[in-house]
Amino acid sequence: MGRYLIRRALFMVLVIMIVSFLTFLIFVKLPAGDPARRAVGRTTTPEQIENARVAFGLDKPLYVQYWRFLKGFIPYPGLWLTEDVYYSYGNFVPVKEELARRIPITGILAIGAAVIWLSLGIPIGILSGVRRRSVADRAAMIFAIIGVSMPIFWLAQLLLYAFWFKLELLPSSGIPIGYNGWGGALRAAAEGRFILPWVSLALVSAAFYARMVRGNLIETMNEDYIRTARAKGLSERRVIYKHGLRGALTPVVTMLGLDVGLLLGGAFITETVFGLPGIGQLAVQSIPTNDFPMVMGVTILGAFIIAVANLVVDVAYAFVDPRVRYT
Amino acid sequence: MGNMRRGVALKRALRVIAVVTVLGLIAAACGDDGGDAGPTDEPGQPTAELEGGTLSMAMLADVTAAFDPQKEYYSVTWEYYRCCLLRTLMSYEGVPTDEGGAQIHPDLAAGEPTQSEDGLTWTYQIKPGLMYAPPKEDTEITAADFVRAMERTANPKANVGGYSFYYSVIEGFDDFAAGDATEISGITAPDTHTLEITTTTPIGDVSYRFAMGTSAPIPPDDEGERLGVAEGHDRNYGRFLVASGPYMFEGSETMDFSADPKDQTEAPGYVPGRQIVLVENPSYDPASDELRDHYPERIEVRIGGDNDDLYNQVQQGALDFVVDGAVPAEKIRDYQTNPDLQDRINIYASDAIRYVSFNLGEPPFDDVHVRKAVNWAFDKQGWRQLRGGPSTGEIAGHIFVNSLQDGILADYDPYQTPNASGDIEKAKEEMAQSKYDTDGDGVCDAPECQNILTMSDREDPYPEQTALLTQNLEPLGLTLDVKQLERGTMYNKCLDPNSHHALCAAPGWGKDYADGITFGEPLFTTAGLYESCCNYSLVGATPEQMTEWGYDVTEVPSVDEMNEECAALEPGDERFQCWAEYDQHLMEEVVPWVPYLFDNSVDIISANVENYSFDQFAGLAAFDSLAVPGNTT
Amino acid sequence: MAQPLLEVKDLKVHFPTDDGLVKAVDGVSYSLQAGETLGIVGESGSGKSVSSLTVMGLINPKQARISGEVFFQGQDLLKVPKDEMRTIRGAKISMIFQDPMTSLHPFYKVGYQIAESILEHQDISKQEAFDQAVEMLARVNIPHPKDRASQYPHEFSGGMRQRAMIAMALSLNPDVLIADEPTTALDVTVQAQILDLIDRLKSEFNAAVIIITHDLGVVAEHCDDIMVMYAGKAAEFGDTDDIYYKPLHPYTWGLLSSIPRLDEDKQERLNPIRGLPPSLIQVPPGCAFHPRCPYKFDPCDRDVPELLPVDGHHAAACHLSLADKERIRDQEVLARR
Repeated sequence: MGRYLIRRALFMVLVIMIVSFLTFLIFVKLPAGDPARRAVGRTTTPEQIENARVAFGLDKPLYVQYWRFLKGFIPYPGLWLTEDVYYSYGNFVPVKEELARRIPITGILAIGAAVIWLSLGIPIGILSGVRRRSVADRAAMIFAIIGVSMPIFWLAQLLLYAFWFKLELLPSSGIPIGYNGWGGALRAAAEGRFILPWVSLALVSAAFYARMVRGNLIETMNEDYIRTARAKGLSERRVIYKHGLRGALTPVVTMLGLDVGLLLGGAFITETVFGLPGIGQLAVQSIPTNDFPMVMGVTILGAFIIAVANLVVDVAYAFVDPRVRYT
Repeated sequence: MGNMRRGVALKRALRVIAVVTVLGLIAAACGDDGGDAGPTDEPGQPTAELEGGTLSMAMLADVTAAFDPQKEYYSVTWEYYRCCLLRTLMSYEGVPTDEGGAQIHPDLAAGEPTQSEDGLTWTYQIKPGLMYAPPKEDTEITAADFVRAMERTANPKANVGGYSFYYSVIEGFDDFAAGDATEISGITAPDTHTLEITTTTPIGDVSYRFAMGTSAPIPPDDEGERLGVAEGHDRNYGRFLVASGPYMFEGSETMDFSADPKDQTEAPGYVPGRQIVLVENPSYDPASDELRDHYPERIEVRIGGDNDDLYNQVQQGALDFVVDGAVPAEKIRDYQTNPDLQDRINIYASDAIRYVSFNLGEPPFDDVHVRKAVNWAFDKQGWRQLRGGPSTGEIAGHIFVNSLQDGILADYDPYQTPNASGDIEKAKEEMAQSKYDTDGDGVCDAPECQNILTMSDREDPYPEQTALLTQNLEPLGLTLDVKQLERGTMYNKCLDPNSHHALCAAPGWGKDYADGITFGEPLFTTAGLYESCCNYSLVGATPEQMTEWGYDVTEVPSVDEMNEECAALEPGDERFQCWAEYDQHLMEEVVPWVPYLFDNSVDIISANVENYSFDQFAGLAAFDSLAVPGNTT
Repeated sequence: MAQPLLEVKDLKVHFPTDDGLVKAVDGVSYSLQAGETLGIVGESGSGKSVSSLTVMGLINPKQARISGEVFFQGQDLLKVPKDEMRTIRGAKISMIFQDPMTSLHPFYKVGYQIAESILEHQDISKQEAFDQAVEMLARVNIPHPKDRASQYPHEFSGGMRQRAMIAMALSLNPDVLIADEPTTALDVTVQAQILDLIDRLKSEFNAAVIIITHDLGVVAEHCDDIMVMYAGKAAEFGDTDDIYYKPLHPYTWGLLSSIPRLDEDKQERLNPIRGLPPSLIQVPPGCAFHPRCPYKFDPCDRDVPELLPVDGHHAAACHLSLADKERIRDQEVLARR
């Protein structure tokens, strides 16, 4: 397992480097705009543009620029997302600082949503799978189809309009002043400010997971070992929950890891609609303005999180399925 | 030229009276003080009952350079400076044009400046005894602090993205910026409360340039560093901003400038991307300030959110104001039609213009008759309707927004058509005189009129607007080849003469400050040509430049001289008149554009806001005038 | 004769489907004594597995129409309530299946799976159950049973897995063990070991065994009685001698002749039974075997032959007269052997 982990870690580094290179390439080749020109505002002189270019390091040859960004990946104090290079073109704030500020929000959003969709999706999926073709099953699958088809931005706006603007049951969008860091984010969660965002995210995923669990469970219940379990005289409950689910839920582990990884990279639609200052919102703001250091920072963070999530999921799978062994 | 001047001067008197009456009626009809029958206030003489409370606002996006005054080139930040954080030599009252909002007044200056005989040196006296905000509450604002601000403005590491070019006109500024001099010879402090500014050519609007945030005084630090408290903060002085206005960032007193700059902690009130919290500056002396209201006790601004939801919050009263959003069209309608909401919507001219520009080097627009024909044919009403209707602005009949010519040209529209919908007959008459219409039937028959390269913006409503234009121009024999581009790309292409575009269909322009030079110079003189900004029509280009850019047409009109003339005049009626004539010359002789809309700023305030004023300088609500005495937490 | 342990009387299991009524088991009867091994032989689709699953109560009565009687220790299992059936299943009657790799849960340790069975039916501690599981593994000749009990099924070889399944099935000392194709998925060399094991354990536990298979070779050595099934019915019933040396049904003849022989000339072709097994939805009228029977005659496509005793408990379901059967058998079938 140790050697496997080392191999995976090296592979992760390779993946991140490729992602960073592609991101860099996109920014260099994109015709959308010279960040220097964007930064200087409209009335300007050639000297100003040149000055901005120098300030952003854009006057250096491409490979030098890329190398400067690459150095920022090394998780060594002084090099990690170094402020010389990783400084937002858009609003002159260090990338590190901005990311650190936003991680708690995205973290709470992702984890809370995951808890909800699991608590919702898995029981519904089990109920459906166990009572196939019953009224409960059909209702659950209708819910699943609706849930999977609803676009998040529509759902989010609808929920906000209904539950806050009209019914005044839940707080409005946004995090109030002064709620900073993990403490602030948790406090905001305690005040219910994450409920609508969680629900928007969770409904879609819950539907998806319900369908998946249902399908897996039906398949699993057709396996031979279920027949054996029944032949042993075990109660049907035990057969379903100890034997059937065990097989049905292993794909859920894989999906969950990937989904949470993706969310931690920033659920940008949800964050934008609900005014949550997380990583996703940062991405949405920095990309159109060609704010390269910020985009690079966000992208690499996202790539890193997803790569780690992948790794965690694969390792977890080894614990869940004893037939899988890594060397 | 002389005749025209006299003629216009005669009409001017009548016009002024008419304009004042009309503006007065307009002011009464729309957008007056917000709120119910609250006490009316006068600028500079705030009403005590309106004081107090917490103003809660939201911004969709953060400011552009973390409040660094030498970098921020953004009207929203300028409002924060003017209303709240930074006092400058001269400043504005934070009111609309018709209430004198375009007029400039002494702020930190003790009075109007005196000008030398040759018009090159301006002397300002500084009000004595004014102190900075904590942590510099023991430091008096002195003339040397203005010199320091100018030195930072010239510093290439510090002024990234700013507008230092406005100060090139100060003697020695460029040399200092280039590192060829150790001081800026043109700005000195002969004594602690006297500031002398010397320019290289006579410039009338020096006071306007010293009403901008970049010119605000920077306090010294205890170690006597050249840049004072900004030393070591070339990149991010805004996080360490020492205020001089009625407000400061919350927690400013915790900043410690005696520590090494790398170890200093930022003012906690401003968290980039999250919040801006301003509290009252204990050092502020209201008696010394005739300009500001400073009603709220505390200003809390949340950054980020969904546009529509934020306006819903304003309607609910959970939020008082959205700084940089766009009020959804349905809400504008609601507020305008609902009697309970009518006095909470404010519509003012934002001093920005939308226009379509011609490239005078690119056929067929090298022929002035074609340009005039397009002006006649243009359906300005239709374009406004596509943008959202009358609430979005006034039909523009000329170029300079009203505050820049004090309303002299308020009724001036040389290409006026019934209902501003265009007049194809008049257009054809004009086209018939063009060299591209060989048979004089009013329809262009030269190949240059086909597939006219047009740069446009791909976001709504521009695609529909250019479609309308295509329709309008068809009867004239002009066909368009419209490129729908991302906004930044469009501006780049419009600016770059090498693109050989003929029309630029979606630009806009707003003033930097209320003086005509902010329109006149960058838009129509040589100084605004590529690679500077923003002369898209190539007015004033030299034959060498035209050849270099690959044009067959080498002769284009120039207005550089007129611009210089007006720039040299002192602020006042004569200067306004000069800009008015400049505008008329452009519209009738040069015809570089079809102007179509003077933008409105539309905003709504919550029911908690008991007073409202529009700051014409920044083009948005004057934050310190938004009174919320009932908002106590 | 002692009271039969298990008595199946006229068991019918019909599945209504969208395509029609599938008559998987259509009137099967047999009885089983303690210490006996019954072999149920037939092709795929003959109903041999379904009949045993029904005995175990593993056929969902909501999905099938079950009629007949299954007597076990004085009770008709078809009428016993579900909860009570569960106490019988696994403890008194247990079953092992064809493919031990898929029949054991891949995610649980083998010892756990055996102990689970024990814990379901006995009120003892987990440790005791586990110890018993280890003991059972030892009894089925698995070396290092303690280590093995903590391993997963995929760590066992094919033969060992089947032994483990047997251990699981026998862990509660059942009266009846049903083995559904226990050796089909195993190597030939391992097959014999497993069958011997079953024999030994049968005596040790004094159980009765039903072996279901399609392989006549398997039943030859290990069964006392044999029931040949075709299309959901019993075609012939008898003890091993009867079936092998004195078969009385054309289907049985066909089965016996189709066994490849090692001692014959390689040139000779195999002798399969002509035709294909019938659809259980559209069972041929009369004798279900008649479309494939070389000896069919007049009544065969009209009247369903009954399983009639011929000699002792040797019975056959065929319209041919005993004389005719014996004649054909001796001349053609046995001669070819």
